[in-house]
Amino acid sequence: MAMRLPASEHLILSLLTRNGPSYGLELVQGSRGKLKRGGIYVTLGRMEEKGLVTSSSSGDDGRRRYRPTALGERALMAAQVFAGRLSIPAKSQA
Amino acid sequence: MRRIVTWLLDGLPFDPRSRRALDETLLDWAHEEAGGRSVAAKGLALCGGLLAIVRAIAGSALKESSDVPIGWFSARVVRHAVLPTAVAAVVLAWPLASAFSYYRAAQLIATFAPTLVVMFAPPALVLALAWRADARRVPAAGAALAASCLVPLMTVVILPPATWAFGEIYMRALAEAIGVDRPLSAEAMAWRRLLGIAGGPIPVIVWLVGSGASAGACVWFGAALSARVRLRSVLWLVAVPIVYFAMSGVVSVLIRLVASGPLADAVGTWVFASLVLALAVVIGHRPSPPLELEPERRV
Repeated sequence: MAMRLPASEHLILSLLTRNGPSYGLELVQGSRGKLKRGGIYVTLGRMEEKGLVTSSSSGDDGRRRYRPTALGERALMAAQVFAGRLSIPAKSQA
Repeated sequence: MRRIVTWLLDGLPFDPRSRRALDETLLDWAHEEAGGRSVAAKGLALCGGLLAIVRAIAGSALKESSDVPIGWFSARVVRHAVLPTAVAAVVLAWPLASAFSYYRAAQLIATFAPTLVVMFAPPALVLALAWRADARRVPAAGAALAASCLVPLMTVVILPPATWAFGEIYMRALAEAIGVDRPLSAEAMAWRRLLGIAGGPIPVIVWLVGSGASAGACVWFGAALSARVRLRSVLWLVAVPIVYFAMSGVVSVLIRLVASGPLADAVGTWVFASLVLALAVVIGHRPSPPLELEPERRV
């Protein structure tokens, strides 16, 4: 099945792969303004439905911690390989 | 403040996925609020939390709007708007036909009908969700978003030409009735003139956005009602529009006691929307009866 990875989902998967399991708020803080509070949970919900991330409730406050699934990691890798193949080196454009 | 917002959101029907996104946003808000030591930090957490909730609602509504059964929903809205329009047209036909010719009366009713449809749209939105809609769960936030965008759009497209055509035909009918040689004519429809009548662009914009908010609030109210009360009697088809017009009339009178002018009328739409939303929240906090699914029909 072909799967398109939008920029926000790509960023979330990158952050989760790099930083490990994270709360939504940590992802927002780690994205340096690219992800917004509130909106991120709609994106995370959609990603969970697609099977790209999984979550579990941790701690007393009931907040959920998100981690990438194997499918999510593979989708991120494929997107990075695809982007790498299409990227044109800046020097060759000059 | 967070508790008030939580209470408000708890009363409104949301899709389970949207509910989870909102709950997580509220938990983040509580977490940040608990972490803030100074007054400034707490104030910042409050502003951030409110903004996050607005974003979560907007994002959820946008996502839910793709799940709204558009065909089913729009067919019901049209049915519930056209039915009272037809009744009102029949009621209006008698005095018009006695004052003018049958032909002019028919023309006047035909040109006034679109205005009636726009007028009956809010109660039609309530009835579309609440009247005999058993076991059909429409994503309320998505439907509210769709209604709050479509109703002002419909108003902008339909009302100016319909009002102008009605005025034009009314003038001609009046000229014929009093035997004036030169036919009277309504002034040509110009946006500038229409805006002048409405008090300028600001009241028009406030009124249009307010009518969108009212439409959205009516959808929330209908969804909250459908989950708790079974509206099955035909009397509801009469009662809901009557209650709607009585409520909007009372709001309009109360607004005019405080202020007057087109802007006050436009603000009235916002007051009405807030009132309907508050009613939806109050109904939403009532315990929901177990869902009774209609028996499957055998072919």
